[in-house]
Amino acid sequence: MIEKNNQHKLTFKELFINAYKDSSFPSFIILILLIIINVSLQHNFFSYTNVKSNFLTFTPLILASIAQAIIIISGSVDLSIGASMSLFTVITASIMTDSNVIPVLILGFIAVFIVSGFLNGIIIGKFNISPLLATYGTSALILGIAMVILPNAGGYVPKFFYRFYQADILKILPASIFILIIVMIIWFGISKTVTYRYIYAIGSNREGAYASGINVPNVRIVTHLIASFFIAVAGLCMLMATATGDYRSGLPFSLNSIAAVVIGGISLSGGKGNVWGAVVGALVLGLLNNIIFFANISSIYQIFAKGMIIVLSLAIAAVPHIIKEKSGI
Amino acid sequence: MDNYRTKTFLKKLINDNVIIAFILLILIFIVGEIIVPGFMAFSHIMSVLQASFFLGILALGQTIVLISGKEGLDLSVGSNLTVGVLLGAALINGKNINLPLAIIVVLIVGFALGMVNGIGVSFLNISPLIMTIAWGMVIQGALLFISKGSYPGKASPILETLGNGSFKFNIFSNFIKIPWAIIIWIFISAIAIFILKRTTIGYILYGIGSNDRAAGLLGIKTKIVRILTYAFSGMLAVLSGIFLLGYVGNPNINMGDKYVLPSVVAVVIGGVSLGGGYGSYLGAIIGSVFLTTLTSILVTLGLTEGQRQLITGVVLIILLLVYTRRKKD
Repeated sequence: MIEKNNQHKLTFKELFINAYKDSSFPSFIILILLIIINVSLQHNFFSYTNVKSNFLTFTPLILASIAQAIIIISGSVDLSIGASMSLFTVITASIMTDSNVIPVLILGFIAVFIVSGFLNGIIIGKFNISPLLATYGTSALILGIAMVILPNAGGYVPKFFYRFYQADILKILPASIFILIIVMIIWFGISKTVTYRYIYAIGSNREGAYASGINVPNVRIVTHLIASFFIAVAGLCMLMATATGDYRSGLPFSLNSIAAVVIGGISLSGGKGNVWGAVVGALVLGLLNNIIFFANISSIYQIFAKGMIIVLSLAIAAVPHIIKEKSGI
Repeated sequence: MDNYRTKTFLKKLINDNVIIAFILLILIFIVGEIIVPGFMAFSHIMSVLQASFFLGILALGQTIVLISGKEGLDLSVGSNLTVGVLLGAALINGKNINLPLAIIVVLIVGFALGMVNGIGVSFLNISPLIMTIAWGMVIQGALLFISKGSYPGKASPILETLGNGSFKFNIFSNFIKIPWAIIIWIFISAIAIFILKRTTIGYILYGIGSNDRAAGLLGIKTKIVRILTYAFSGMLAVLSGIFLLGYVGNPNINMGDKYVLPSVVAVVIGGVSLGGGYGSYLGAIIGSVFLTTLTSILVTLGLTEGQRQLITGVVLIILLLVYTRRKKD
């Protein structure tokens, strides 16, 4: 009887460890903290205009982080996300006119599918090259393509097109959030398919997945293809936000998306975590940027600070590993 | 019997990556001669070798890091090189008398910066690719911040001679100029290859790279050794920067970027295994010369920076496909 009582009573420590074990939990707490800090620095933080302008900046990173999360959960990684986003802006801005917006966008999507989805998928899936190195190579290649298409930032984006990004749908919803909601619905649909479970399977135990009869190379290719869709949307948002094609514009997104995924509690070794964690991570990064901006640190210092954030977030994410190691495994 | 031995000897020869790299080098020199008559003239070969020196020193650091295993790679070499250039210029300020102290200070700084990479990789278990990219960004940002756009100082006369000048002598009534850079490079290479292949330290490096666990069980402090490899890579990168300062005379903040990707490609061409535990600096030397020659031919052909970037990216991917396919296990 006494033992039964002991079993039911959870100590504070156990409760805490249970919550801590949930990978997205820490990032959520950090998010709340950052919102509090942001509100104290900026009193109109929750106003409609402010939320809208924040999401104008946040959305590309949120989308890139969703793509990165899918890839990382599958046990791979993608350093070429930024370059692919730049490629999208460069391809579309260089040939867009007032009358061919939709076809040009479709062309951009196809280009990103082929180069970021298919190429990466085949090199990593079929040829079994280490994902880190393979995507480092493809990012150099994609950057080269973008540089050839538009050596200098430029191109043309019709006014009505990039105005759409700043518009309000039905007067109550910013376009950027609208895009995010549609993307979420699409991802929700994907999360109900078998492929979704396969992605987690090859991420957590590649050999086991082979043994279970999962066609690992094909799933890898499909993973990168799915991710490339989100990358293309991210590039689209960036195009609408900047209204230019610039081969340099996407560069920070590769590393920032990894940081967002790590902050969101998704393990870099794959198989664990949740895409929503990446969204939280991207929001955390965005809010951190806000704080840096509002604390009036000069823009040169900001580059330094942003790099440090990535290093620190990776360091902090490594803490559970170190604790495991020290406890004698 | 004899047939068998010749066959296996030939097979070994062809499998030896260094031999392949050397053949590639001869080929590209021939191509160069076809495109630009006079390419293979002694003085031109000398100047190509001189230009390859800076990449070659970076490649030495990269080789050490790669050999020590665990998918080691140092992508902060560009930023460290820039540190060598800018800090060296500021300290030397055109005066020979400042040179020794300046070199010592810069080498120590480079060592310390590299050590941060090592700590992140060894103790925090952060993937080297990501750690070095992130830390390299931090360094670059700090440089931007500290310099605020002005790059004071310049190389001193002795340094300029070492970086850009030649050792002149007469032999058999022929006037021969051998650039000091090549002489220094031969010197450094001899020491490096000796240490790697013939001393205990080198043996330990290869050991850690091929089997980290076994080395650890033998009592080798693998984590510390690995930190030291990154520290040395940082130190070699700033050393290359100092010499580069001598080569060009005046400092600039963008000098390092274009060396990062080539430093990886060069060591892969040279047959250094990306998984660790295998390879030699000789191969990396050949790889560096090959790449520098390739770039110089592409520049002569009038290719834009974008096209050259594209080609370097394609070369890396082809190399990855050829050299690093993992077994399906």
